Amino acid sequence: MSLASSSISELRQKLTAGEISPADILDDLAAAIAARDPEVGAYLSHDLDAAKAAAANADLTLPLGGIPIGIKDNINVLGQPCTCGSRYLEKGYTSPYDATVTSRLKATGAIPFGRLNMDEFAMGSSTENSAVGRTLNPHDLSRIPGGSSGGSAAAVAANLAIATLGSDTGGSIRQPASHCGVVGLKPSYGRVSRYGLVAFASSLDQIGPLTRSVEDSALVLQAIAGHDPRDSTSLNSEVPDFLSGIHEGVAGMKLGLPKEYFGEGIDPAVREKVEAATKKLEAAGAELVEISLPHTEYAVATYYIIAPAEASSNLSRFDGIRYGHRSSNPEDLLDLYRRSREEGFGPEVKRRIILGTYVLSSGYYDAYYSRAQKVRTLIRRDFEQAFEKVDAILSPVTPAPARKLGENSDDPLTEYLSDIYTIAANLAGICAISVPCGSIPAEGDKQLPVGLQILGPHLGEAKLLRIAKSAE
Amino acid sequence: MIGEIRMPHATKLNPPDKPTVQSFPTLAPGPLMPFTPRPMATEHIDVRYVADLARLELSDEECATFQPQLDSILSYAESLSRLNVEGIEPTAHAVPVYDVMREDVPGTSLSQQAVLQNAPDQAQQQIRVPKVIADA
Repeated sequence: MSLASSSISELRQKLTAGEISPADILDDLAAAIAARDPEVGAYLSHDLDAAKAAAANADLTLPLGGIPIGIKDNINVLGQPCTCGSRYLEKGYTSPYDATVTSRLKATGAIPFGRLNMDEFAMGSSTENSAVGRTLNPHDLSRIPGGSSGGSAAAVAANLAIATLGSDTGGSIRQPASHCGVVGLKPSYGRVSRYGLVAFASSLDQIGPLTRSVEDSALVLQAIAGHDPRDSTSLNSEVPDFLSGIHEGVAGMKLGLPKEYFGEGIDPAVREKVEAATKKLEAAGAELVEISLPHTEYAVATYYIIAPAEASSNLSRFDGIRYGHRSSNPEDLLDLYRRSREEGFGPEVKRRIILGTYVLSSGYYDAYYSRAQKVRTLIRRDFEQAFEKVDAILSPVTPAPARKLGENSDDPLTEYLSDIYTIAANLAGICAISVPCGSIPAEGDKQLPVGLQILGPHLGEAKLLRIAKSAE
Repeated sequence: MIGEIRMPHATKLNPPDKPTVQSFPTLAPGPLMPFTPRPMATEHIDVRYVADLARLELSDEECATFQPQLDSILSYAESLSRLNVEGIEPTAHAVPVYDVMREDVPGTSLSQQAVLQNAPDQAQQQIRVPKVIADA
């Protein structure tokens, strides 16, 4: 087994035993990237020399000592590019600071290595909206890797990274993890600092790990979780030991199956794999309980009002003045704003800025934005009531396995509807994880991975990881 | 850090009966307000008008592409009107925390050089922009 395809736990054993050095892992990864990434396209860039320099000083006694971690290209790492998949930031932006997750990774001995492709400003579910790179699903190169953290998922799946960070605003960690067959965790809102994550929708965004195993997911979450004075929405709550109880199993737990998540619209083959995974947990001692999340059908509409509204406000910072793209020869200041944004943003970003500006404008605010915020309350209550009866909820991650490239390019609404199972967790602020639960045969002997989603109550990551470990 | 620098400008709001966003500071009327606020269409989103509000130039092709796409997304969003939300409190943040304050002590911040390193146009250690004040 090559180092590049190992788990964090395996590498840590070899590192502390002195069998390998951090530079060996980096060399193995660089060789794998050179061999395979030209076709997969997970990375936008990687700086081996900088990583080697960090590796030379890595403290191997620390929890992630000597482990390279790939970074989604919307998380700042001092001195590295941060394009957010956008032409706007492709040139003219080098991070002048570390995001809090970056400094925490460094403080636990990890080495940030490589910038991973994504849908522009994290807007999309396929990574096809990246303006600066093209990422394919390593299991079938004619299909999408999912998104928006498509590069982060594809890199782990193709053995081009040990573990990566992604961000999840409506499923952007869990959905690509499901499509690529890796473990993807969206922590509870407030568990991980958002400082240094380029904001898409601030009330929904959360950074989390994509890994080969549930144990690795716990290890990375342990490193990045916790209160940060630089993010006023990060919670000053105790961070438990996510690893200590991970092997304790699910005996005696109640796990909810929301009937709305297994109804119409789901691919029968996906349903079969997910139901088999739930039966496995039942066999391990959990009690399966049918539950209802009655406002599920309103989640997509609610999300696609709230997220663009917040995005239209957040993206007003890209005005051509302080960093990134500036249009040449503007007539005046307003012309500079308008053309810098026109030239820098791709179509999906423009659509969402226009949609968000519209739903926030006077005369439409009450009909759309204010109403969506109230429905968000109803969706949140659905989960609160469910978690009074069950420890966690089991569901599919996506209605279907990874689709072919280019399928929904002219139909954004159909693409949005595929987010149905993941976005409610962001609206409710709860934690959720995608764990591989089998694969479906596709043409040409390909196997398309399917994920089981486990949703836990707010700050319930320890139990979530324990259930995920049993399902793995 | 020393205190923030305040720009002495007035902010003019459009009349409340018109669709509004906070307008650009009106140091120089004319070129900074190139469009006249007007009532929006009742059935469909006026893509170019809304893009103007967002300071976004759009080509005719983009407008033509976005129009039906945004119309269908907004039609789908109409489904929320089926729900009775009377008396329901809105959720702005799933986990609301209020009045978060930190200790009022100076700390390190980015250097001037670090802040300016990405500015596309600069002079005299400041960011240069097109003239804001109109010629007399």
